[in-house]
Amino acid sequence: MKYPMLIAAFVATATGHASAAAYDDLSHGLDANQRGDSDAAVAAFTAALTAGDLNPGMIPNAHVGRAIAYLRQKKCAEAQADVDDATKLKPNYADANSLRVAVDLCFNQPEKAVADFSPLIEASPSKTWLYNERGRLRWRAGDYAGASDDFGKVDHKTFNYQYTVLWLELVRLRAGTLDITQAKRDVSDLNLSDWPEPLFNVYLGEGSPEDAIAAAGRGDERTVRNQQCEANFYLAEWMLVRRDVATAKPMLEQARDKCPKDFLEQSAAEVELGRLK
Amino acid sequence: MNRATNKTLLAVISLGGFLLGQPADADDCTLKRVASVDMTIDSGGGVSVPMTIRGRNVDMLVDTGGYASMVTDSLAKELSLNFLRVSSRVRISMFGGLVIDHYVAVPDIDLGGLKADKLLMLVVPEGRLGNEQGTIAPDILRAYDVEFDFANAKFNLLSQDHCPGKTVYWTKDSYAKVPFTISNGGHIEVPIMVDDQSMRAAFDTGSSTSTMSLETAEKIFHFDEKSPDLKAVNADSSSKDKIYRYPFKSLGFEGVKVNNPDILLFPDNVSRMGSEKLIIGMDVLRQLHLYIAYGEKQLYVTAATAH
Repeated sequence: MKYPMLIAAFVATATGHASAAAYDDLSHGLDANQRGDSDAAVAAFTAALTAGDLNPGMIPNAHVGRAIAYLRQKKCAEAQADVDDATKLKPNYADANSLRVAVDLCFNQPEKAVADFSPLIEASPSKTWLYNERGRLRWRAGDYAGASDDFGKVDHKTFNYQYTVLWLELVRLRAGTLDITQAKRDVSDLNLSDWPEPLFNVYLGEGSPEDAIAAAGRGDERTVRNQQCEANFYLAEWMLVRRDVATAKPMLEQARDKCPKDFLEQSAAEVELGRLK
Repeated sequence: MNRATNKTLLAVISLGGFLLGQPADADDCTLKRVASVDMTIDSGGGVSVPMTIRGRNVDMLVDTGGYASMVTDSLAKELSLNFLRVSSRVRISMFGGLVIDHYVAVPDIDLGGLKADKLLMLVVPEGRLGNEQGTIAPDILRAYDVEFDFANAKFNLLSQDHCPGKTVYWTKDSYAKVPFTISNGGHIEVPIMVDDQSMRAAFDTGSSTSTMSLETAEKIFHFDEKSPDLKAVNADSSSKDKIYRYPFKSLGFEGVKVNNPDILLFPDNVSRMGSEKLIIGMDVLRQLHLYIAYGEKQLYVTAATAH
């Protein structure tokens, strides 16, 4: 098969021939996934899997690579089939087991995602940052009490721990179990900078959304963009607890459309908007 | 991908027992494989190999661009290992500047039949290694010859005790022989041509992509951040520092040429690459059958699928 967009063409002038075409296809698929070209990735991994001479040890790799590309294309069933094939061949394949959760979410089955994620925690209970991930899955499934339990288990030394606490208070708000005294104690243990303290203040009843929005507007252009993204999401969640969907919805739309793509608030806003439909 | 900025760490980490392999017969030109394991390429593009620690199966990233081998914080805790602080005279940081400041004595290691009673390994914070539980770095690798046979999914360690130059057993066709030096950080460095400009590059199987210092690229290739050829790859991200692609035409070394190499350009304050300005990552390396003769300081290279 031809790869007109192939970026890295190996031309080893002093080397032998390349007869194991399947491996080349696999390599092209990995390249394509890396540059985000899902169509080329699916084509390359499919060629690798059908060529017949791919080393058996690499076949699960090819299935996982193609599943990643299918997920980007929102082809959930195709991705699921590849994840199933990969785990049949290699039952403890961590990459495939992680992808299964993404497949569940592709099908909009957050409860199943929680169930599929849980063995990852059981396998490595000291990876407490994994509770952050499951906590957000449980939030997505509407299991706020379970999410609260998970966020409470995250190690305080985890990177960006203040956001774990923000999520903890958020799901307690949603569950109706927020204890202001306890929450103030949680927050007092944090070494908060100027941001995201204004968001905590709103959750704890010590500041208004207007104060937080004003604070989000302070800083350089990028800082403001990032803070406004977070303000839109976390304040919208607070509005939803107060059943103020009319105010929350445009804020979530702003978060979905304006947040940096690597901010979890961007995808969380998208999820929440989906639930509001 | 971790790099040390002070060589005295060697004294700290060399307390651990070296992995013991089969003794080699000096008069015999046959290559002696001391360990062989199946390898996979993980979803991040890295080389992942199985190992056991105290009988527990773990996956390790093979990282020729590392300095010292590492285990994750969670694995060290699950094994109830005693955390020891790295000497304050030593500073070790990963790509991006994350500081590594603890190490542990890891017991009962078995890597494809190669065993060690105890090995001192650094502790890497969670979330830096994908699904692997540690890395195998040059502190272990350079005691052997190292073979990456990507097409056959095999990672091999071989005795360095063999006839000079008698390493390419997998093909009768010609191959490239590339001399390398070892940097202060223990990395393999090779002279490379990028668009007719000579540079030195580190070979890093722990890096999924090839990367170059943005400042160095601007200086050598005479462009700046306003160049229309320079494309930011993270414009939508939260980072205030942009990472770029530039349309390089070729990258080559001793019989190997890569057309249109995909090299990410990182500002130095983001990558904290130190003296290394160009890293050749897995996007290029996985296209090769790579035999690293650490003893001879030679790379033997063919296409990955040559036989």
